Amino acid sequence: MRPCLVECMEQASGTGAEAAIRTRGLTRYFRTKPAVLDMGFRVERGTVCSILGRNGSGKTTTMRLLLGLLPPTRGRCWLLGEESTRLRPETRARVGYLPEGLPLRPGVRVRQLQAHQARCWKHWNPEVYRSIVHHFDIDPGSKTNQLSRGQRAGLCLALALAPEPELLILDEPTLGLDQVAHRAVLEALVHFAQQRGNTVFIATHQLHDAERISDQLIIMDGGTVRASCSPETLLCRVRAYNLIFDTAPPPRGPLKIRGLLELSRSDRSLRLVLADPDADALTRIRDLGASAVRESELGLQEAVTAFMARTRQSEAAPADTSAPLWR
Amino acid sequence: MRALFWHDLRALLPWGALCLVACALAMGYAATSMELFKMAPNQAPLTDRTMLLATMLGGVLSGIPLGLIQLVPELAPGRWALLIHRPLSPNRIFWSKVAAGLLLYSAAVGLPFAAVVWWSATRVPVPFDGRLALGGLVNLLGGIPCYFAALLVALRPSARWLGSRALPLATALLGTSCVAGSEELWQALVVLGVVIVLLAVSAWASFLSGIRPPSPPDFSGRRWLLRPGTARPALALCLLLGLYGLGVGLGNVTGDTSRLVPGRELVAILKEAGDLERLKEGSPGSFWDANRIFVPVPDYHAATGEDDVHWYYRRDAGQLVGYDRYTASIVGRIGAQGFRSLGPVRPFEGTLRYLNRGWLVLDTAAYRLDLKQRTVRKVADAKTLGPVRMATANRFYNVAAESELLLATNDAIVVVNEEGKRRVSLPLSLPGGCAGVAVTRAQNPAHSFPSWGDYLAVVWPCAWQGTMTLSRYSADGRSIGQKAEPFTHAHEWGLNHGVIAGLAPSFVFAGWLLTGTELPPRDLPRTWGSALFVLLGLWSVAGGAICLWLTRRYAFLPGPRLLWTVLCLVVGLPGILVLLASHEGSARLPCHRCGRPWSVTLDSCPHCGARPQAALGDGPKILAAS
Repeated sequence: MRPCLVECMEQASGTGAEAAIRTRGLTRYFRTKPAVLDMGFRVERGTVCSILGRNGSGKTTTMRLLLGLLPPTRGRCWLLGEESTRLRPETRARVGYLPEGLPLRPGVRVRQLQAHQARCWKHWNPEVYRSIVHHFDIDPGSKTNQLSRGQRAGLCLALALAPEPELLILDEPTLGLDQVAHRAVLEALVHFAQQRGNTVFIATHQLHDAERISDQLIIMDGGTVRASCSPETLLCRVRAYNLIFDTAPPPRGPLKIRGLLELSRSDRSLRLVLADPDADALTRIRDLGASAVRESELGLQEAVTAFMARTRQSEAAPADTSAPLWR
Repeated sequence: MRALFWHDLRALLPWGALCLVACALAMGYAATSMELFKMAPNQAPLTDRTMLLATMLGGVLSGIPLGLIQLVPELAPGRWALLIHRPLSPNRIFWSKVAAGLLLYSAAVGLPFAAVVWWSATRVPVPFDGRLALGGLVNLLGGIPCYFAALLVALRPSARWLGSRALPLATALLGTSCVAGSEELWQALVVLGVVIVLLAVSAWASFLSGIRPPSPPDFSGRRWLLRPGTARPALALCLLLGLYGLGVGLGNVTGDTSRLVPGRELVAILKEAGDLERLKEGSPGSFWDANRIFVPVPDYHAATGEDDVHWYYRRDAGQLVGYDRYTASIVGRIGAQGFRSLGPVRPFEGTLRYLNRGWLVLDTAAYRLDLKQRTVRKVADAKTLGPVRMATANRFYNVAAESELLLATNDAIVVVNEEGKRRVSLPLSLPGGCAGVAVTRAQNPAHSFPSWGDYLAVVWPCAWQGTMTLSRYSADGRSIGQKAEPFTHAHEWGLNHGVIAGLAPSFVFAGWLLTGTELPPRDLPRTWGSALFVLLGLWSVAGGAICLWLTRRYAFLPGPRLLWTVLCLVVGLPGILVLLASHEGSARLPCHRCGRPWSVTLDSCPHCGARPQAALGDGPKILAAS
């Protein structure tokens, strides 16, 4: 088959090395509702990539598309260089997956589950499994529905890590865990990522976790990728501007400033968060008539929240975070 | 694969056990009900209607829950991921699940049935033969399509209930009922094979289509066969074949279904109107019918008062066998040379034509029986009469005596008494092929008590169409006269034909070709009849055209589009309804350039060629290489 133009260009530009994950124009509709729209990103091998976004932004659908559990409506995606919709069993054996909600079949004993999984996966490492299970204090004789949430998370993690995958895809693995279990899961992930170029692709709502372990962030909103870059790049390119108005109140109504993510007002001040502010944006900010303009850096949490909080109404009307949720 | 098989087997085991208990209760009840209620003490339990119903329902009601329970818990997104995401190909995952499900199904329905077969062979005073179990066995196999249909239902959680969900179940149930109603074993096996293969392939395709995207049709490879778009028309075809059968059945309402059975039929008309005794040559019943293996002596217990021995004529052994009712042991056998309590007897030679408590008629000879005394005496021989085609005890003018026998040979109807003397012989040549013949004696209406005069014989050809011959004979058998009359009361058009014609013109054409239904109806003037032909043809073409339009609108691939169009061309409106019911349409959104709707699955608008609009560009983005 002849390679497509994009692949040729990627190879010519030296970026054609086999990525752990690659998507191009990935789209998935559920009936008429688009869950993922024209998604294109790339996750290099040996990195930890966090995918962030609000509930319903398409993170889980993206993971299911990547794993070939759901056929895309349009577009394509590749895992470890192989198209997701035609993953061979050998390639699946190199990918670990921990689904959202820790969906273990109730009534099955941990011992039975382990034996079953060990028979299914060729490269099953009993040491890895045993150490994680031991760490979470899981009794092999207990049934899955008798385990605590933390233990179930640990068991799922053990089941995902014991086959020694090269790529680990995790869908909110720390959701609802206590601090101890949370830290244990993160430590296990960090340990895994440090081993021989393993790749982790993790969906999470825990921005601290993402900041701590990620080499790359993908921020999704409304099924589209809003940002795909390193945390440093994000912090560098998302800026906050505090405008002080001494003489007159800040202007009302929508502000037409390119890259505006967030806008909050008070009686005498205006705070703007902008992505990639260019000269035109800065001129517009100055033209607002503020007596003082102070530029400041944002923390990762603030920057990501600014992206995620933004509604998809229009560029001219970003979320006014100063407005209360109810009156 | 083995791991998944055992895992599924273990998970399904409680449900399999539940099905086993339910089947055991149903079959146990059916097996013992005859003994409990003394309804038919000389019938084989395995071929009893209650048992056949129990096996059919047992198969259906075990297959459907097992299929649903096997997949429904796995359909939660996370569990589905755990099922699919393992180093096994989806094909192997699917078939290992199917293997586990079918094994449990076989155990759940097979073990109780095996127990019933063992009980029937050892504890019931009825001759046993392995073929008696065929009916129940085939009915149990009829649950397999239901199992696959349930898998299909479970695999389409987002499908419309009346569409993709109900269709497989309807097909499976129709297939099961067709199997239960089959006359011959090969017919049942063919129906089973077709329905099982179609539903299994559809379930397989549906399982894979949840994972793989639609791909361009590959007519050379098996992938094309597995596409749901292909499987669904096949499924629909199966359903419609059943509908076709239903159509033929409906067409038979006005006539007599027996006309379709090859062979000849003798109807001896008794004194009272409607009191007919029908004897069919060449129609031993369905493949599961015990009549193919043995014939119980009718009315024996009522007539003799002897209730502890049951007598049967075994067709293959050519002998009468008596069973002790209480111990189920063999009392003895009656052969051509008489009774023996132990050891073999010389069998009767020839094919059984008639049996009652006093007469045994084979095509080679007729015997007088006395089962109470356990004696047998030959009264007529084919060497003098010619081969006997049909026979009945001479009940048509003296019910009580049963001392005379009416025998139909190739060229005469002969009445003989119990001494073997020929009382009368009516020269009447039976036509070849299939036919019916009725013999009666005219009643003298001038007297209040029955008084019988001339013999009347009516011969009609098969299919009840053509000419009926009415022959009259004097009491001593002399031919008085003969006349021919047109005889057509079946295959006339009725409301059912109109309905079928409106739904599916091809059914009517098929009926015309296969069963000789009048087309156009004789009551219509010639011009109207021609117009009806044209209308039916146009309606058929319209079905194909509507289907073509629908499949283009739904952006079907060329292969499925062609299949559906041909299907609707053939079956008309039902095909269109099935298409609408089973189609799971992709979303259609208006094109941003031309405004006309098009499927989101396409890469470009089929109307104006516009590429899909890029994702919302109304927000800032930071897309940088990491």
